[in-house]
Amino acid sequence: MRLEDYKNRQPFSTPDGYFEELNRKIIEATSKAPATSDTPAKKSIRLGMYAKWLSAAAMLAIVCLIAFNGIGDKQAAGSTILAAGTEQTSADGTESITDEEFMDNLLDNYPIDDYTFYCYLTEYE
Amino acid sequence: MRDNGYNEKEIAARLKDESLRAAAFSLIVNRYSQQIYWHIRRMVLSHDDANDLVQNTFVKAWTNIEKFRGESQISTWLYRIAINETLNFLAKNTGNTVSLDSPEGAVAEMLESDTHFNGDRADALLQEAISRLPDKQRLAFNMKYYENMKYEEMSKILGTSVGALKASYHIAVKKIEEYLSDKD
Repeated sequence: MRLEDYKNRQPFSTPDGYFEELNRKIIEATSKAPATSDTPAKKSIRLGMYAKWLSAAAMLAIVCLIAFNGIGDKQAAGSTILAAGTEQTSADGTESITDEEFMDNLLDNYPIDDYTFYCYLTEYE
Repeated sequence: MRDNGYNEKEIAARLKDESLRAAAFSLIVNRYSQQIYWHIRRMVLSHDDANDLVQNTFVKAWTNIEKFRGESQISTWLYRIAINETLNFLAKNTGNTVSLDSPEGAVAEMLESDTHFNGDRADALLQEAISRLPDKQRLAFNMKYYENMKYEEMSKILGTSVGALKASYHIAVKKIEEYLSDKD
């Protein structure tokens, strides 16, 4: 089975007339909701004040986590991230993580930039 | 891209005017609801869950519409909300959804019994392979493979570098192909 052969297939379906009904429901729901967030402004600003520090602490924790997981060994071995799927063995003979595991770990632990998005939603600079 | 006579900038400008806001938002709903629905559906697989999440996405976009400053595209704003909603949903429902730890074949079986899934066994296995990817790899794969999105646009939505997204997509493809070749 070649992945490219499945690119244009649409195995999922929806009930008949679903999107017309969906649009109607959304517009009906939004007509009842005020076009402003009911998040308390004071609380948002307080979180915003600490968010940069929290982000920095989270990033530091991620770096430590990655280091303790043996990423340091892998980097010392001079391997590259993009050489996917190769098993690395460090100089002392112990088995290290694969490049795929490294990328999974990195991508899963590096968060979508919620702080920026939070600022975006709250207009906090 | 124009919609009912208005382009993105014009719609964004109308969102800032309280008297035109509701009508402008209706244009946004009509233009983007399908795109956002399919994006969510490919992540959660179930029509009912996708239906709830797409509605939540647009309600959240509406209730925060005053915060939309027009610095990004409307679609980017919607995608970011949809992705946050979806990832939160998946995180809260780890017991009910299929993950890396789920038994082999669980997704394919679930899909084959779903009345809103018309694919064959190979389609179900492909979805199974995709569902076993980590969430952000899945996002990158779906956005590139199914939505043919540019890496630059994905980068704006996901807040991740183009290089990391390319690597993520490359690894996702490799994992899926390996999974499928084992099933041949």
